[in-house]
Amino acid sequence: MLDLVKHHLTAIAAPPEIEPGPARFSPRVAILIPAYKHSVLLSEAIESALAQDAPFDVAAVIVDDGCPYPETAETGRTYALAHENVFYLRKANGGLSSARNYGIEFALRHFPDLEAVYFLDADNRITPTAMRDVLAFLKSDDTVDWVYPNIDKFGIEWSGNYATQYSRLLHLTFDNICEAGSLVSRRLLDAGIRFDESMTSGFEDWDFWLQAIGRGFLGANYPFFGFEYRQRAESMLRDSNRTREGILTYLHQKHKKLFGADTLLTWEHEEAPRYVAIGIGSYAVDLFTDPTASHPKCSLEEFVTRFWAAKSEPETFGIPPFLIWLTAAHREALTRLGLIHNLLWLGERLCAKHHFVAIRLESSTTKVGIDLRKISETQHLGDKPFGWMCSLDIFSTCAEDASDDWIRSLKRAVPAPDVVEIVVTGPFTAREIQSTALSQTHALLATLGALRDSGYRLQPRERWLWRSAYLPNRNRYFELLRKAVGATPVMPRLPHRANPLRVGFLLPIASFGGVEKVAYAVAQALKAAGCEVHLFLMGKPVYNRVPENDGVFKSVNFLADDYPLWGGPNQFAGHDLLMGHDAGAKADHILGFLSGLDVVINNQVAPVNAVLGDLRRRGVKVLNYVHVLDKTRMGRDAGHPYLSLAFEHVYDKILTCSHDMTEWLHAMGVPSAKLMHIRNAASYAMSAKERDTQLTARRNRPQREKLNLLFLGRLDAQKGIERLFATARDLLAQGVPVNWRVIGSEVLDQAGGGSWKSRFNEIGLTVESPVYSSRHLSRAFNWADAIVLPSRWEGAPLTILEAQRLGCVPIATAVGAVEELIADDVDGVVIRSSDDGAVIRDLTAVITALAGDPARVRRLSETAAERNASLTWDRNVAPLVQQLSEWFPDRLAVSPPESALRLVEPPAVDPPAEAASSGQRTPRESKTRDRGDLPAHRPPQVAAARSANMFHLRVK
Amino acid sequence: MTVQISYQSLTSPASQLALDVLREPVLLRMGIEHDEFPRGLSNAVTILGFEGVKDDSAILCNAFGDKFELREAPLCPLAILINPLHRGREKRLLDWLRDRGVPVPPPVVEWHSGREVDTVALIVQKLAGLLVSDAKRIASSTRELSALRILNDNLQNRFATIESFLDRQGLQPFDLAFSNEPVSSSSRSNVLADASQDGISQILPVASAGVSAVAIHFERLGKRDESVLHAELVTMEDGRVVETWVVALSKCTAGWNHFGLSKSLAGLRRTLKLRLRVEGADDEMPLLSLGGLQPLDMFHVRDTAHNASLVKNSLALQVWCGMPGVVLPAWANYMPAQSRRTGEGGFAAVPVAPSILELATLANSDEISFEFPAILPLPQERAIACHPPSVGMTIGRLPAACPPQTLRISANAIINNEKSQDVEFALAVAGTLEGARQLLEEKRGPECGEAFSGWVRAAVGDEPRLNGFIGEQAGVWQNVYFATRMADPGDSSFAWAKFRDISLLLKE
Repeated sequence: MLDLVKHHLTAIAAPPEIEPGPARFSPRVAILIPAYKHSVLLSEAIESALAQDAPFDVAAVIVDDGCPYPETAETGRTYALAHENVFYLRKANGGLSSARNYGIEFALRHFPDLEAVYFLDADNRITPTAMRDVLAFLKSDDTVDWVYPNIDKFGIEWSGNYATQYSRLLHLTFDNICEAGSLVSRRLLDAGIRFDESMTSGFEDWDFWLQAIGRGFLGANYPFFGFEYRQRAESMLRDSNRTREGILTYLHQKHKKLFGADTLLTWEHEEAPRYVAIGIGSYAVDLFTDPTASHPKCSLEEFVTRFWAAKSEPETFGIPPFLIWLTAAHREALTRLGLIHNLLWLGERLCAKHHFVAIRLESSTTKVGIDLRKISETQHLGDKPFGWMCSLDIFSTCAEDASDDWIRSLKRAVPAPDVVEIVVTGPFTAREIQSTALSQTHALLATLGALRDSGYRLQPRERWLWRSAYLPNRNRYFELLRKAVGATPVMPRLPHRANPLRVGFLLPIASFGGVEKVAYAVAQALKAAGCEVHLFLMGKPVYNRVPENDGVFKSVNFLADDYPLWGGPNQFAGHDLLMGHDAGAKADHILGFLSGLDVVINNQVAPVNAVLGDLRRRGVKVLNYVHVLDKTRMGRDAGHPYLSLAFEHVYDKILTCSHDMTEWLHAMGVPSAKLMHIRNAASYAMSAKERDTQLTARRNRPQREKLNLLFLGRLDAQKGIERLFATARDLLAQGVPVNWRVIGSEVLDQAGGGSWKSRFNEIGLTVESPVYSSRHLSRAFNWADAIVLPSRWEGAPLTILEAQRLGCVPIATAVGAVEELIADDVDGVVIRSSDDGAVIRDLTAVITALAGDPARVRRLSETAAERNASLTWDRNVAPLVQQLSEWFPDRLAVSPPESALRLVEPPAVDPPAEAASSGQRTPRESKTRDRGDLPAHRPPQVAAARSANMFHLRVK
Repeated sequence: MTVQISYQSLTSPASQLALDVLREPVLLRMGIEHDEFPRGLSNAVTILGFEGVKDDSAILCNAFGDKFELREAPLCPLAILINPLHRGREKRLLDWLRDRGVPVPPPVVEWHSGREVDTVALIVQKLAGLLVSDAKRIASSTRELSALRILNDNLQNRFATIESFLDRQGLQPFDLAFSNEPVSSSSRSNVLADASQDGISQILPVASAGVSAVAIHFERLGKRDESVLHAELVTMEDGRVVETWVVALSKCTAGWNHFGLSKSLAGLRRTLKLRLRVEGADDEMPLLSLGGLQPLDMFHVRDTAHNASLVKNSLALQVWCGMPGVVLPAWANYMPAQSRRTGEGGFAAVPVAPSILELATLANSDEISFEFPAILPLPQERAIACHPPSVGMTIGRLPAACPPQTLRISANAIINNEKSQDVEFALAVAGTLEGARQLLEEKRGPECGEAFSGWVRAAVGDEPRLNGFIGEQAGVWQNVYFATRMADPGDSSFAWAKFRDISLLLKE
């Protein structure tokens, strides 16, 4: 017992005598002791402050927060009278925060040499060496602004290990890991950080640290602090835990930016990187969440040490939870194509289901895509994958396994582990696609060998830190992030340092349809306005490359999951739809996929509506782009405009391509303020000089004997292919002097009567493969005198605008917003019939008339060319840019540049052979049509409501 | 009570005036009429005129000129206000006060008409000083109270730990809490040779509570017999040296060597660091065994002087834990702790030796007398009998039994006869009988070097513990006084009152 007694005597019996003399009392540390109802225990706190054995002055400042017990005042006054370094301050009761703040102000005002303040609650204690050692620790590192202790509780005894590298991610998403009993540097207090006096129910210290974090200050743990926390069965902290949820809500609201996904992701990258990329050739190990951001590296030896340290003390030491073997050159190639983040995201997702993920790169000039191949007896693993990925859990198990036979089978065509291969297709250069001399399978096995052969492996896995583990394992911080963001996995893309506005375009597929073309054009305009634009493909994981779009999207992202693009268990106005709580909505996946965006523009991805509300609640601006009202087989209005009504609440804006659609949505209940009409323009840019050259060529062309007619589009019911066929057949039969070019892809399952190519062949017309490049499109328009669009329904077809621009006269049925694009017999011809027979008859008549009236054709051509001469996307998108700049005034310049569209000389790219030959769907095809629910014949679309008044109200 | 004057003239106005003087602070005036004082001052405090000394009593008069005698010194004479023309006459009063045990005389302040404020300021200054002095004493008491509370917490925990150990059926009292086995290697470093003169240090992977022994493993020992191994166990959180060993290396053996603590560590859990250094073996350091590679940098063997890691290994070591307070058994082959670091301070509870008990005598024989010894030393019982009178109290004395560094005096109070009425017991530490009497009569509180337990009532069968605390050490040996009185004055027959197990808590 004597040792104990001696110890306590040491702790209490030797307060520094403050002798009056020439030495001025000027404390470098002030211990602030708020006192309220701990009248008796207060003396222990004061004694522990007085017992400080430090080579500098230490002041003990007791702040009596209006304690009703006279004993508190007696104790405080007595000590203040007895010791010159004790100060007893009294104030009206205001709570713990106000008492601490009162003490801070006092210390700052009166102690000019003050370097730090320590907050000691009246019922706690510190050891005599605490201030000496901790101040020295604080001053030893300029980047440390406060030092927090391990928690050693007495009363109800418990010791908790908090000795891990300080992590803001952990501090925000796990718990308040910094006890109020921390030593705080003066610079933090000088910055104005104070306790929130409105917080009287606890966790005010958490808020204090959050303020500090928000101002860029950092903490650090000192493992031998000497802090003694009195734990009794009931305490203020326990009360706080009872009201924890409410307080947390307050903290989240107050520190919204800190709790934002971007912030947390950045901290994950800096503090607990999610991925480790191991290069055996270079023995360099990269640790990152976002590989494109600057990140630390270490040697393989250091990695091995960290690995075994993490095995021994997982809550204190950690390595990333996902391991990657992929050369830096391949990572750079994937970065160049904007695919690296998506690949990591997919890999992480797949690691949850499979033991190992193989990575293979394939070169294609026409498409970018992802293919997932489950390796099996029928689908072998290709020779030498370009890379590997796996979870730490699997690799760690292998490292400790008695044998490595299982993992060594990764060299075989059908390995014993469950392997899935990600095949990334894209325009990789030959050099990029070259495999390295060292196989990545070897790299993986060599890494394993390094771990297994390490001397550290021999250590029995016994804990060396005696304090109880309280913090989560460091390699599980990614799960904290997932929980905080509500997303699994979280896309590992950090915001760019310049912090541009990040806009995500969601598309069901990326082919050559109007919806995609509009999305790409708007993306180009927004990029020119200063935004960073990203493409997200929710359906088929293939992006058919449009050379003009190269470089527009910062990244292309494929969900590559079983994600039906239509349907769901809920009904709205005759539409099957998903809601957020439905398993099929895959809310966690989708939110993770879309994390890191400021603005999302949904371009007709039906199921994603289910989770957009969650995105919006996180501060993302959510926009919907509506193009066309479809028809069911029975002729009922259907499609995305109805989904827009169902989910109108989640949209900040609904963009439309026509006044017709705007009016319809308004009539159906969408407030005008939410609607924004973005007028369509040609999908590809053309310089005025080039356009003039081509128009001049058209004017100077000798008079032809026959009228050149063009059809450009899918050979399907919506485009009125039956009408086209019948019209062509009738014109041929009647001997009308016309030449036809039919360009488009066939949709076999929709044809009903067999192949349209064959049928056109039967009447002497050859169906040409689709063209996608601007050069080929312009060439087709220049050839034609007129373009024929006998569609059953449309939005505002881009083809009309592109044809008109080059003087090609559109002849189109009056569906959708066609009449907004064509003034009949002024810059085109509108067929207003709705019955198929009447349309064929009228179309035949119109073409016959034009074939016999070249002057009329020239007149229509001239006015058509004039009509859209000034139309550009950047001008049309200006209202949207304006809106974005109002939402994000500090992120986007108000005035967009004059010319946004990049002028790219289209390279000579052949139409994608695979798309043509495999019957791959071109624009506008979606699962809706895959499900075969489109009618063969549909009446023209009629707007639900047309109101001039509404229109006037809107345009005002 | 012992104020004789009060017994003699309990109801007279003069007696009442004298009692008042013993209860409240007073100002004494000499050569100044009462009317000369501002009304505010005379309303604030009692001012008494000093007329002189007669028959060893001071003659005082109040504001109305009523004179009375006072035998005892006033409780708290704040100051003596004197007419400058009367300077010199205050000596009589000061002598009278000194004769009555007032160690520090009140200040003598000249009273000048028109400079009353200056005079009052001097008095206030004196009062402020008193306030500060009192505060220091209270703080000192509070400090002891804190220490006792902490001590109590630790005792509670230790008892609880002992209980938990006792409940372990069939288990050994010592556990091997951690073992880092030696790993042989041809490239083994000699960490003791590589380290600076201060030797090496190793953080232990076990919390301090319960640690009974630490074992280190020697792969090879030197040949020189005179080499000495110094080992220290230090707590990281408060820098305390909890155990020290100085062992001749000749007594160590190749293999495990157990260093036993004088008793298992208890109290709040701390991180322990083992420091080792060898003296006298510069040319051939013994080779300490190391464990396998250690991935945790904190647990590498380090150079004590620079705290730099010497190797990427920990020492091969064992940590043994046992029941708090229990020493390793004699048959165990271990190195006993040989020294405690001196001067680190502490408390020691020391019983008053039987030979000192025999020095106990009756102190107030002038007041009471019995046919039998009122005070009877009972050294074989570690007790002193102290028989109370029917009225008044019996005071016993142990001369110079209390050393200067005493913090507390304690004793158990018992009555050894079933027929006895309740008795009250008290302990006091004072320099003189008069001082003790004042404490026992509760006329004042303990001053420098004094202690008083207060009166504690005991019935037959009770055995309350009396404690008296000395707030401010006087630096001299003091007498111990012990007293009994009947709880209800009257029959003291059979009141066989005893103080047993008198002990002192000393500050080392």
